[in-house]
Amino acid sequence: MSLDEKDRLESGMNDLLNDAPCAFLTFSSESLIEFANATLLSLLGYAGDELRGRRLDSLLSPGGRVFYQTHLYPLLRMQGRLDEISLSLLTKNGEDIPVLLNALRSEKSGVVVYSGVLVPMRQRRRFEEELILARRAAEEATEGQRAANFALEEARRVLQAQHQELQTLNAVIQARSERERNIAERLQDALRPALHGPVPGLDLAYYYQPALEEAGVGGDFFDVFPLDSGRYALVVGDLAGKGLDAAAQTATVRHMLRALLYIGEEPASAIVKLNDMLAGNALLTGFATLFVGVYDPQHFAVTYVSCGQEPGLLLRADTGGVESLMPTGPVLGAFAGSVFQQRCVLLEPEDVLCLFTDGLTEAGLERSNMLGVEGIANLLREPTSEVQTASSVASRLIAGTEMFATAAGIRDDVCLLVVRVQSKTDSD
Amino acid sequence: MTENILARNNVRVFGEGARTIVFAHGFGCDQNMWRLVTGAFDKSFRIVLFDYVGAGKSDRRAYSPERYGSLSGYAQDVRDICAALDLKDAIFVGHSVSGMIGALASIQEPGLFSDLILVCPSPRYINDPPDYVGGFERAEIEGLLDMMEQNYLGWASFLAPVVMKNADRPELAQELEDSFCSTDPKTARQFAEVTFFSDNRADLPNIQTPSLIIQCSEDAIAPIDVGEYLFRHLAGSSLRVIEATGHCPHLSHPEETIGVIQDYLIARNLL
Repeated sequence: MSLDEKDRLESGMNDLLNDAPCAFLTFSSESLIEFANATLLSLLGYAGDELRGRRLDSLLSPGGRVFYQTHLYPLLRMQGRLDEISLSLLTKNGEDIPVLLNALRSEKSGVVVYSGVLVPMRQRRRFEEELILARRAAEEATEGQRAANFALEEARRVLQAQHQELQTLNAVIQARSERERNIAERLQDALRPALHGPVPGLDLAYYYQPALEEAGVGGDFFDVFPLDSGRYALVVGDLAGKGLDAAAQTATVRHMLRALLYIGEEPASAIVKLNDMLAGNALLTGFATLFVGVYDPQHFAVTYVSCGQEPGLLLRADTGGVESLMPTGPVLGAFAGSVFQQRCVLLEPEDVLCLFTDGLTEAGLERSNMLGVEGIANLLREPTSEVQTASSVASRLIAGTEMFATAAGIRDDVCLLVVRVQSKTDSD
Repeated sequence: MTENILARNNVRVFGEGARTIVFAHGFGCDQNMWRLVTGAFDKSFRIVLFDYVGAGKSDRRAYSPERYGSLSGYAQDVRDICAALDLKDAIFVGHSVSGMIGALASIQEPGLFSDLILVCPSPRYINDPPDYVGGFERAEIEGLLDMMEQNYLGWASFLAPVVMKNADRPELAQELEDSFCSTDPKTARQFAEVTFFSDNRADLPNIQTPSLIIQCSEDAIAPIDVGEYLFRHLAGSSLRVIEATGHCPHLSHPEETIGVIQDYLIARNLL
């Protein structure tokens, strides 16, 4: 190739480079522009040599200048090239032109040259900006979701903690009520009479159900115990009130009555004294109703006092009739000086004496429609084919009462003592 | 703990000498920025290089937006590294925002550094008229953040999830780390915000350590007014305006940069 040809070729190449469909420039390692092609000059509105010697980053937006200094220049210096860098060029008039920059560091015979190609990308930038907005929205949505999930998780944790706390609390409450139930049961056991051995000539059965399930004790009680004279005391009582307080006062009444009968007082004088002591010393918060009978096995006689208690019902075996053992005095413990009388009733073989509290008579759906004493008497009178025992009578009365009470059930404490006189063949 | 920190911050220690120079990189890249400079000092000094958490080959799992939400978090990195290496009375060379980071560490822990050499430092990048020229308007910094985001476009949507979710495929992360100046875009953005929205002017009176301010003659990021402001407000400081232009004289003009650092060390009887 001749020198002329080479010159012509180079000059042709320079023309091509000058008018290339991209901006092109070279610059020094100090970022000073050495050559800018015509495309770049016209893109930015400069002419001739205006860009020679200018700092490359002075053509960039202020943000771009920082980006160039902190990222691009170090990259170019250390790695020798830049690829697809998105930048904004400033025209001479201060307008922004988004461009994509590729740059290269090359070394020829000891001379280091940096060259760069800039391609305007207005459309693409718009698209990318939209992409960025979309990505940001997606990130925010993800973040929002994460936050919501976190909040949900947090709420679940709180709920779980509260649930656990509740369970702990429940356990404490349960333990406490368990303890109270234990106390009540111990108390109840102490109040419930043990039927020590048989009472000669009699068959006994009892039913006891406190109204307050949680306390397990009530104000009703009954008692059967032997006296020195060979006689036996039969007691059914009802303290106004329910629960532990009533149970405690029940114990008072029951044991004071025992003491009086143990020292040999007859039922009427025992009750007069008991009433005066209870009322005079305000030992009861309310009052009590009580039936006390002293049974003499030798004469099959029951001497009794009934202090406002539901009448005892006596089913006569020979006639099938029911007699009522009506009250012989007012309620117990309300007024000092009250008068109580005692009566005596003679029992025949197979007679059945039922002593009960108002829990039984007041069973029913409403006040106006209660079982009543007559209802119980009717239950007693009902003919039955089964063999009569104290226990079978008691079961029949309770079953009948419950059937009557239906849905409402039995609301109050119930205490029932059934005494059946043995037949002549029983005692053989 | 010590080993953790050395790994966390990709700490490299080399060179021989009774005293130690800690070189701290600025916003944008990593310890490689000092490649052209350290060779002039490693015969007379022990050299410590490191990457801030989030940059270079640091352990990026150690990054937390809370800790690195202010320059104090980065100053804590510097203090952690000095503690791990049992450094006292060291010479701290910090580029750009690292100048202030080192200065904060020196306030928090007097005796850590005997000298602060601040390359293109700035206590505040944004103008605060009428009395303070930082070089930037807030909107211009927003422009930087946008530009970074545009350039991380492909990176963020494709590679970031790869790095985040493929802990069991470290070669993917490795490939990324090998690319100089690569940083997780969120980390880079927060570092940019923390850097360019910082204002440490009130800390300047508390800086007791003697210092050298190296100011480039034409620096788009830390203009000469900023260097002069620092010189006026830093007790015991020297100001050297060098011929180098730009914001990275240690890359663009390594010989001149080495020269002014050596001059200073000689004047301070450290070399």
